[in-house]
Order: sequence, then structure tokens, then C-alpha cells
Amino acid sequence: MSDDRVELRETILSVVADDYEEFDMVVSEASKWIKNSANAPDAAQVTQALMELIAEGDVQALKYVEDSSRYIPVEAELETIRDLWFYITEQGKRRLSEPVDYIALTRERIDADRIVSESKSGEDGAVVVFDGIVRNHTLGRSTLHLDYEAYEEMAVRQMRELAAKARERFGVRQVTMVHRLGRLEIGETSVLIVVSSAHRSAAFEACRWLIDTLKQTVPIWKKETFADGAVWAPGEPFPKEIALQSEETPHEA
Amino acid sequence: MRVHVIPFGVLKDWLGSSAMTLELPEGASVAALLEHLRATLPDGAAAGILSSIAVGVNAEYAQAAHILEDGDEVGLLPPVSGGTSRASVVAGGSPAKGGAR
Repeated sequence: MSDDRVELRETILSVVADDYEEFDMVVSEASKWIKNSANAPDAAQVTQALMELIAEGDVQALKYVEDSSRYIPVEAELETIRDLWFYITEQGKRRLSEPVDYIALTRERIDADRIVSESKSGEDGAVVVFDGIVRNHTLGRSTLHLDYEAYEEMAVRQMRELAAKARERFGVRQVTMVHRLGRLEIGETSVLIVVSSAHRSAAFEACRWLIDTLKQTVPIWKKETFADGAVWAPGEPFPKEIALQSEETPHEA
Repeated sequence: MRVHVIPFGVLKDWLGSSAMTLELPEGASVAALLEHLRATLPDGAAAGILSSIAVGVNAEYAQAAHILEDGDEVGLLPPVSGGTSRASVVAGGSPAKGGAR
């Protein structure tokens, strides 16, 4: 990145931190701060730089734009504003929410005690924990161990979405979801869900909803090894909105 | 155009465990891709398995009518079974297929 752009971005961050409400003020202040006046930015450049900062997860820049977006002037190019809104709504919000929830897939043992204690904050009145562990039998057969695999990129995305939905729907403060992959022995934690909230009823409901929905929609599969063979667990049918409608699937001609 | 198809779970037993690249006509939908796959599976197996799956295109769930684009990554997803064991079938439930005694 060129020195000019670095300087512009740093300048904008300082200016934004000074709390100017009017976007014009941000632009003109930024211009004053830039050492070489020939490089003074226009509204479109400032918008562009803000957009980049937001895309990189800069909370300060995002908050500024969210608070004051109506002041962003029409002179800035329409395309740039449209892009900016995209970043605010899609990327920005997602990135802002990242520090809130803790979502992970792991091949290591899940340290439930540590994760639960790290999920507590002063504003919480309750932490509800679901600790799913490997049981030693399924339908009367003795289980030796389980192997979990995931479509990892998609599973993490789905888990993030579930966490965000749970916060929105139940008003809980934070969701932690960790799912183990690879080989698991009896008694080990396969999934840990921790919901932190001011009130217990919301935390209970959110936790229940999260595990039920995870089991239906997050792309993770389990192979069970019994004393007499191994099978892929049959899984739960997909909810309607995800299942491929068998609409007009041509029957073999 | 080419799409990369990745089978998961039990589908790996039928389609192989690694990603494959398929050549499809421009504008092919998810449904068309599945038709193509159906033809490569042994009779009987295909209908059962493919009718219960979901599909992820570039790691987002997609519907049958979704139009694929060159370079797309298509995950073939059998019913998922993450979390813990199934909410247990109470005594008297039928044994899992795949061979209880």
C-alpha cells in the first residue's frame, strides 16, 4: 500500500475518533491533517478509505459510518456509497459480531471448564452450558468410538449465523460453540455450547434452540464404530428451507 | 464450465472420498448436476441417497434451481449428524440400518 494511502487511513481514523458528525467535516479535517496538500482527499477517497477499514474489521470506522451514514454526501460517487453500504451491512456487521461470539472447530480435546469460565462477564446473570459427550451405546449396540468430519468452511459459517440469530432472537449476550472433529473416545466432549445472558430463561431457550438447530443444519457428520462394524449415522432430515425440493425431479426416463 | 464437487459423509462411500471436477454445460443448475451424478451411481442407491441431501454452493446452502457458475465449489451434504447422538429412539425403535444383529 502506498504511503499516501496509509497516511490517509491513519488520518481518517484520528479524525473519526474526534467525533465529527458531518461527513464534510471529516473530509476537510482529513485534508488539513494530510501533510502534502496536493494529496488532500475528496469525499469519494475518504469514503473508499473508510470502506477498506470497515472491510478489515475496524470497529471505529464502522461505528462512525453507522452513526453518521445519513451525512455521507451525494457528491461521493453512488457506486462507492452502494459498496459502502454493502460492507456495513454484510461484512461490517459480521466482523463487528466476531469478537462477541466464539465459534470453532477443533481436533483437540475440548476444555469445557476453561471455555465456560472464559464465557462469563460481569453483565451476565446466567451461563447455560450444553456439553455433548460421546455415549457408549446407540440403539443397544456398544460404541467403540466416533469419527466426526465437517465441511469446515461452511460449518463455521453456519455456526456463526446460528450464534448471531440466537443473540437476535433470544436477546442473549454471547454464544460460544465449539465442535470437535476427528476421532473421539467415549466420554469426550463432541460439542460444547455456552450461552451467556443477563437472564436465565433466555439463556436456556437459546441453548436448546442452538443444539437442536446445529444438529439439523450444520454440515458435520459422524461415523460410529461398533464392536461389529462402522456406519455413518443416519442424520436428521434437513429442514424444508434447506432440503432440495424434490420438485419435478424427472423420474428416470 | 467446470465445477468442483465434494462429497461428504456416506456419499464418499459412493462417489469417492476426494473432490472431483465435473464439466457441465453453461447455465446448469444444481438439479442438473444431481441428474448427472444420479447417472453415475448404481441403480437404487442413487434415488435414496440423493433425494435426502442438501447442497452447498461455495459454502452456502443452495436450492435445486440455483444456477452454477464456472469454478463453483459444490458440497454434497447428506443429512447431518453433528452434535451428540440422535435424540434417542425409545425402546422398540427399529435398529439402525447397516446391520444390527
